[in-house]
Amino acid sequence: MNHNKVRKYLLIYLDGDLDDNKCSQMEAHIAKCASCRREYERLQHVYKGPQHCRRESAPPFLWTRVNTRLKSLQRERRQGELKTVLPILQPLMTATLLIAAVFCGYFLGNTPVHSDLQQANVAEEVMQQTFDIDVFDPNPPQSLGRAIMMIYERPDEVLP
Amino acid sequence: MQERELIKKLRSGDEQAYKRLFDFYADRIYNICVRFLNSRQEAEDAVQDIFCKIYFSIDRFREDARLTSWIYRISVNHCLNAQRQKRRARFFSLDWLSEGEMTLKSARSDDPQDSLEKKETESIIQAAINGLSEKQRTALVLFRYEGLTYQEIAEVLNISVAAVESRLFQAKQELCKKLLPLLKDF
Ligand SMILES: [Zn+2]
Repeated sequence: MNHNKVRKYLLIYLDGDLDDNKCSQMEAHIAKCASCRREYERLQHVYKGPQHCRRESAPPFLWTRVNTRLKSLQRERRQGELKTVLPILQPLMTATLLIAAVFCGYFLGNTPVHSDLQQANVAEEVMQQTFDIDVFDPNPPQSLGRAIMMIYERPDEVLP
Repeated sequence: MQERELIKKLRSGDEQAYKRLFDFYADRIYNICVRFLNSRQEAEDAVQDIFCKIYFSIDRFREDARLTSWIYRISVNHCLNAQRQKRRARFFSLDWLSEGEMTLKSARSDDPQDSLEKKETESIIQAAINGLSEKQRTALVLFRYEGLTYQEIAEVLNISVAAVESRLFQAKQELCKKLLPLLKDF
């Protein structure tokens, strides 16, 4: 193995990922070459492999921040959903209301008011029989209108 | 709680199940985001986006897959998209003129617990990883910082184990090439 090759494989050698053959060639070269040995020692000092790496820890209160962000995103999504539905829903509601109004008008215009007429007739009859009052008489007896009418109908009898 | 049961509860909108999911995955997702975006602030924003994505797309999760792989995939895709957007924005703002300087600066850790040297070396490695291609970087971040196995990385990226091996092999070669000149002072 030459210097360049040895220097190329130094990290792989440090991680123990070289095959046995290359490994022994590396060891032999490092043992006799001072320059490569120095590079190896420098690298070994700095790069100690994955098991020596310190893991960064998440800072405190990160959960609060994550939770807050999540809540605000949930709110935004709900509003977003409403915003996409609303443009479809609005004309649909207007059309439904219009159709309902037209239908109601048509229905009301075509419905005969039988029951109301019957009730009115019964009421008129009862009033006539019980109190001798014609409910549809605009000038019932004892009223001022009737008195005036009587004067007009028989003026000679009342006014001498 | 069994994964299946958890998924069922998530689909029904159970908030407690969602909190449980957060507690279990928050650190992992945050870690990936920091590694990809090189900024804790951006990583925090990304974690929020990713958890919202998980919440709203849990119905689309196929149950023959593993939940972990699915969550990792969402996270990786989100980070890659965010990075692409950032790169585009940087390009149009002409900040790319000082890009080499930026990757190193932004990679620096600001945790006081870290020793100066550790910070320096980690930021150098991070800057070198940032210079890799998207495919190589993704595989390497999942391998180095998340400690996923080749099989797990294959599931997340939806590629074969052989493809993962090849990507990592190339990524490490490329990383080595980029790292050695940066380590002259060490
Ligand atoms: Zn040599």
